[in-house]
Amino acid sequence: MRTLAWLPLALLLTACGPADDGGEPADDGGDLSESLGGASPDPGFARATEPREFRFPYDHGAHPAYRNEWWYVTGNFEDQAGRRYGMQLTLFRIALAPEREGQRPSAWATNQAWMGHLALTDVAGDRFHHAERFARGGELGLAGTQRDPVRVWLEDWRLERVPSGAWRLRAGTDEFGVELTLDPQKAPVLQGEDGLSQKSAESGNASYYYSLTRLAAEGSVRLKNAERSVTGSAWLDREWSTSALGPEQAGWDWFALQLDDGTDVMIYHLRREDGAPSRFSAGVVVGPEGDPHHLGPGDFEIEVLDRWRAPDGPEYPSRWRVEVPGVDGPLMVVPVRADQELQVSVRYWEGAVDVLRGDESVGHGYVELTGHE
Amino acid sequence: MKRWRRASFRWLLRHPWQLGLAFVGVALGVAVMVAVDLAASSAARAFELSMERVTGDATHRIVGPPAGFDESVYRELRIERGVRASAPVVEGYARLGGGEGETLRVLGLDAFSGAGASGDLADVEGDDLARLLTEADTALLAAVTAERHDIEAGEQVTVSVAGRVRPVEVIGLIESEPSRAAALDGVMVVDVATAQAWFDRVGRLDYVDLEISPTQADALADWLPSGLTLESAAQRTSQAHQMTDAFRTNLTAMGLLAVIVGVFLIYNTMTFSVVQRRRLIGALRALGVTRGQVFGQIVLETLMLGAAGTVAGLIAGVLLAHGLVGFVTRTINDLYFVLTVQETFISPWVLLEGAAIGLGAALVAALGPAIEAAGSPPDSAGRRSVLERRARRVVPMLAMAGAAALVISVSLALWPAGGLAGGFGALFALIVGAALLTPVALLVLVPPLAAVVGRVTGPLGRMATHGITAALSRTGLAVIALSVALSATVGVGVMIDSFRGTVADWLGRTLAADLYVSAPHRVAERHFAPLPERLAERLRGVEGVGAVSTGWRVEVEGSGGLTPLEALDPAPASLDALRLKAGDPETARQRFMAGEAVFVSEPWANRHDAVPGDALELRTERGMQSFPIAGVYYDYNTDRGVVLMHRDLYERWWDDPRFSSIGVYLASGAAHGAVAERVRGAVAGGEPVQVRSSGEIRSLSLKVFDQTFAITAVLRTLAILVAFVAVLTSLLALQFERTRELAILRATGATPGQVRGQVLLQTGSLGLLAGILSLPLGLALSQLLIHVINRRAFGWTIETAIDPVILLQALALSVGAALLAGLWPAWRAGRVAPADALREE
Repeated sequence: MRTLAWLPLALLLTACGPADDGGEPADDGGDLSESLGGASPDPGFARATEPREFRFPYDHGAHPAYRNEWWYVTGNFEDQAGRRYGMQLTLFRIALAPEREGQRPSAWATNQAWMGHLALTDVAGDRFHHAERFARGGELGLAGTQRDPVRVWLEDWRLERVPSGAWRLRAGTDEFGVELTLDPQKAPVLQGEDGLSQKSAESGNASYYYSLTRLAAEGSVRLKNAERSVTGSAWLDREWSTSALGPEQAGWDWFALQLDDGTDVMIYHLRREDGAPSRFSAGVVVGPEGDPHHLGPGDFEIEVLDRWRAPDGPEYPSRWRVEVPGVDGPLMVVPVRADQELQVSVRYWEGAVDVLRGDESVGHGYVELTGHE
Repeated sequence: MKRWRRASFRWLLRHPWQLGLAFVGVALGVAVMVAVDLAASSAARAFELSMERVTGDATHRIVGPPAGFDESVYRELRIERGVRASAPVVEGYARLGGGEGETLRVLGLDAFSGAGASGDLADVEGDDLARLLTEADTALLAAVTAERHDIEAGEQVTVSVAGRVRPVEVIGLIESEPSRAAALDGVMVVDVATAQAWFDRVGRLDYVDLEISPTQADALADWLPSGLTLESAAQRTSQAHQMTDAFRTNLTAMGLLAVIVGVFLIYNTMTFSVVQRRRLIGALRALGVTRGQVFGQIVLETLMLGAAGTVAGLIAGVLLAHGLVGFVTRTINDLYFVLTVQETFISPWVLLEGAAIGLGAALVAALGPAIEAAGSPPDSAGRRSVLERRARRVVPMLAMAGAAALVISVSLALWPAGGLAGGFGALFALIVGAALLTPVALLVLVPPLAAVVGRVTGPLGRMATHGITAALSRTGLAVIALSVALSATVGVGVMIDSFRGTVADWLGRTLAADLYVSAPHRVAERHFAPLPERLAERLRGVEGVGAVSTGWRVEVEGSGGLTPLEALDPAPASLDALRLKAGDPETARQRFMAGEAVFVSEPWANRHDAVPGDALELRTERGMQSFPIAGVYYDYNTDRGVVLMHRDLYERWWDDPRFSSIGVYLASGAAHGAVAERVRGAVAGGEPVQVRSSGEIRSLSLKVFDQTFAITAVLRTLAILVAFVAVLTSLLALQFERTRELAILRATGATPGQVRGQVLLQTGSLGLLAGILSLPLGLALSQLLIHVINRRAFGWTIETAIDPVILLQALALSVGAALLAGLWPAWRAGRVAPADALREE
């Protein structure tokens, strides 16, 4: 379709600070960290400068004073025949400008844009399925959030919280889709310093960040009109910020691992331009009872063992040795399939992984790799 | 090169006038033909481009009632129905720089919808494009348009929307591949939110473009709420095509007329260039050159000359076309819809066609004389008398053929099922018939003319006039070319005059109110801005106002495509202003006022073959609905026709309280000026409203009329030019031929002055004869144009009004050009030494 397909991205990129190239996105799409990080934000946005008090379910809803916000669900599932699946649904809220005074009469008028990424990994299937959508916010209701009950949607992709405290997730395309009920097994874990997650040196280059590290999942996946019931375990990340990465940072490698013994591990390396991990890398180990142990940059180790080059694309790390305090190690993290790259307006790798100790499977997880070249 | 061949070329070179005239004749004929054709095809192409741009890759479109439809339909479409390839559009028009600036087509789009309407928005240059969404009154402008107006990205401009001037920031320019630039020209893109605010569409959309499969389309059509329809792109295009069909056919006809005149011109000049060389050809034949060689030589020369003239004509035609395109698109803008594309599209086919006709006509023109010259026995080839005797014998046969052509013309004109094509057939047959009858007319008219001239000027004068029939083979052609060209100007002139007179009369009767209130800056026929709510009530309360009527023009879908619909809330006098063509006035009015039936305009009735008592179907907000027709009224607003409906009836089926015009009728005894002042006072306060007297409206309407016919007037001027050149070339050639005859006159004692007088008398008489013959032909053409072509194309009745000025103009033009053409040969004839001229004998 010859369309304005490029325009949403152009809008997003230009909204994230003055673009040097006149706002034209590169042919191979932009960079996630760039479109979500970006320097010199409009001073009209709120900044994450100090810890705040989190209240739930209130904070599951949107925080539109900040520029970016996301609801990030990943999960590993199995159907009755033992076939493995991974899924990712991310709903990004992106404010194109700070809230302004003065009402415009149209219900289309808005400063909020929405981007959604949906991916389904069918381990035994022939390819990785993924899709991207955009919509505007605004009163018209094409995309938006609601607080009571909590509801986040981008057209017919939606994530909502039912009174029992469980979440319902539904998203799909003509080709594939998922429908899940997600039941939290642990209380929300505040990341960083009481939920303030510093990403780089400048004050305000931080996000408010909490996670539901383990949700029991039940539902179905649909592929080429065949629907299969699945069960498994999901992870919900919630983060909002106005700016995050500093100019010297290139991207991040993020790991969310769910071990069979009930322990959940989240660790990330913020990578500097030279490839070395930044001192703002961090993590958390959540025990089976939900007790968090926060990790600093020196507390854990991630070693890349293998790499995979995307067709006509960047080279991603593809196999890791991970050591985390309090967890018997070392752990091997292995993608369930190499190709789990989202080739959308921003190009990144986000995929289901197996966690091994020696030859023994000890858990599953998700890994996100951004800013690779 | 063979010597005889060189002799022939040398003859041409020694007669640069003849050579030049033939060249100019061919060039002018081709130029006019090509220019008109290019202008018409450019308009057609512009039209297709704007359709393409609007529909983009869309396969279907959801359309609704005139006021747009609820935007929640789109939300349901996206979320509940999951139709992803859908794009919401609010569309309107704005003028750049306010008042009378360039008209822009404004598309209100959702950049995130990712489908449909945007078509060719390939690339946007701009620094902060997000502001398109986040800020009101920000826009993207087509780069070609911006360049024309020296607008840069980031610049503030003003646009006038529905009469209100708004500041707009052009935050980005829409670039496109050069081949697509024309399609984007004149397009401004804004966010849906901005467009809703600009065009009074808050909460509503004009349409949703879709890219869906036929199966999806069927499912969607079933789901759509009543009042909304799903149209395929093909349906849309054909509807718009229908809208301008008549106009484009007329333009093509104009082009054909230009071709006819052009062919005559080419034929005329080329025939002369051969005929004049008869003596040379006779000499060559006597020297042993074969018939085949003579024939080949003439064809070769003709081709070379024709080719040179054709090339020059093509170049001139392209240049001329650039000027004509503006006229054509303006006419379409005034009458049908806004066409922002103004480029001239040079179609190779048009050029090829022009070249073929130019060369072909030249060749055909040369062929007759060439065969004849080649066929003559050597000794008599040079003898005019042989030729003229032969020509005389043909005259009765030509006349009979001419009479037959006239019979065909009349039958075609009277044959009701003939359609527009039949009308043009009649036109063509009329011209051919008149041409064939010209020689016999000359034989009849010349003797009395010669007698009159002889009585005034003596025997030399009589001789000059008699010479016309003596050289009938050539004078006949000259008169035909001249009178056909002149009659075209007479016919078209009378038609336009009659049309204008009819419209002026109609305006005088229709504009019954004393004052009219409307939004300023009408952009085009189809786009009327609504007036502020309650303005009609406010005006009713103004002192001195007797009654108030309101009107609202919309486009609704009927069984036969989109139709203009006018909702009229009449004042007591409003209906008196309508003159009914069919239907009993008393009962028709009663049924109209009671909201039981509607009126249709004459073109509507003709287009749809409808009479009072029939019913028409319209898509209302509550589904298709049938409305009985009470009467047919005279109306010259649009050739598409209008359905006129009482406001009460309209509001019963459409939830649309808007109106775009108010007619104010003064109370008896109220002073016009004072009431006008008070009405203006009542609408003050920044409302974009204009108050005009009926006189102003009348003159404005006539101005639009004149603009509309500007293209016709230009074509008429071209025809006059062609006629002028035709008379000039044929008479010049004729007089050069007479050199020897004039020398004999001098030798037998005529003074140079007498000889000069003789030449001028002959050309003047020829001009006068052509002028006289062009009048009946021109009047007949005008009747065909008025009663057959216009009626069949546009469907309206025109009262013939013949302005004597047009007839006198034709005569004066004819005689004037003829005299002018005689000046140079006359001067030369007076100077010639009889001995030298005769020595050739």
